[in-house]
Amino acid sequence: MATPSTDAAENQARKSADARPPRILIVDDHEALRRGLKAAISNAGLQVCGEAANGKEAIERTIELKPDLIILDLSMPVMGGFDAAREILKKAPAVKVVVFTMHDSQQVRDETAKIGVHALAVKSEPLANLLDTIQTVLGA
Amino acid sequence: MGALRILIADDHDLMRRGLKSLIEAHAGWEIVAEAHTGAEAAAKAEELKPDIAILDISMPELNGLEAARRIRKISPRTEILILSVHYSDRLIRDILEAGVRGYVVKSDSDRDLVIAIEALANHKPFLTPQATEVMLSGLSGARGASPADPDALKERLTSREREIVQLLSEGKSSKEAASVLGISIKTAETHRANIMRKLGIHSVSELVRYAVRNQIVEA
Repeated sequence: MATPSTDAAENQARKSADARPPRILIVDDHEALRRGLKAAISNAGLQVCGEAANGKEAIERTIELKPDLIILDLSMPVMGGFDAAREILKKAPAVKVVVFTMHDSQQVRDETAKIGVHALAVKSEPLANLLDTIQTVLGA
Repeated sequence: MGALRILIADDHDLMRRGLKSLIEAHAGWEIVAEAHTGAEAAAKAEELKPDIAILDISMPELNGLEAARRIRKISPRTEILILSVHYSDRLIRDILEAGVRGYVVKSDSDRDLVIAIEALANHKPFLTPQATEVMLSGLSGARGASPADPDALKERLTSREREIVQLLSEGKSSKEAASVLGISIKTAETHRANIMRKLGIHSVSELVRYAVRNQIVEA
């Protein structure tokens, strides 16, 4: 039976969970780019909980770390972003996935929509676009 | 001994940020300038004479290879490190011919990048580990077109013509290309006609395919 102290503790836990910054997993095979992303995301008040250099590692880190959102490159060795996104959305349906790619084509947009990815951001666009996209997806 | 002065050029903010973070973590290494086009990189290299210029191969208006050629002329003591997304034997040949002694693929580790910078700081070459086989197979031997490299059979483009190939492939008209390069429209159109003749092509779409294949522009 719920007691006032239990309710208060649960409310506190809920507030803490809501107050904690969202946890982001960065997936890209370019280490320098991951480094740049990590700095940018941390400056925006978000928390980078982990990194992965290919799709296979991305799936493993997702299961292990349970991030709120994944920033996912498409062209990677071992397993690419499309295949990784499909597996991740099956295994961890609550996680938000933002594809972050240099390939801006209708074909890529159609494929990401078909897979059910939450958003797509293009690497050649200003960084602010990516950060806005992340905030929009997290807020949705 | 003074700081190692480094210029970084990449059109992607995040790549520049990542490179900057890596370089500034090293005592004695200093970023003296950033650029997001090859033209800007060449201008800043001329002004600042950095010890090392790190250039992304794919940048708008003037790609990294053309910027490297310019920098080699205007600041010969500047060592150059080219970064590319994809490894390419053809690119290795082109950069070595341009006098560039550093080449790293972006998927190489930060550690390889650091080793490359250290090597160039000592005026020693460093090529991505993926290049080893190319080197061993006698790159320094007879140069020339191989049957698998039909583009190399075509009459070689001049440096200016390569700049125009890039601008046209980026969607600029002859008039816009002329404006970027500070030449007359007539001169730009003459270059365009020479390019098409040398390459044996007849349309801008063929030109774009040539530019992508030869890493003049990014796919």
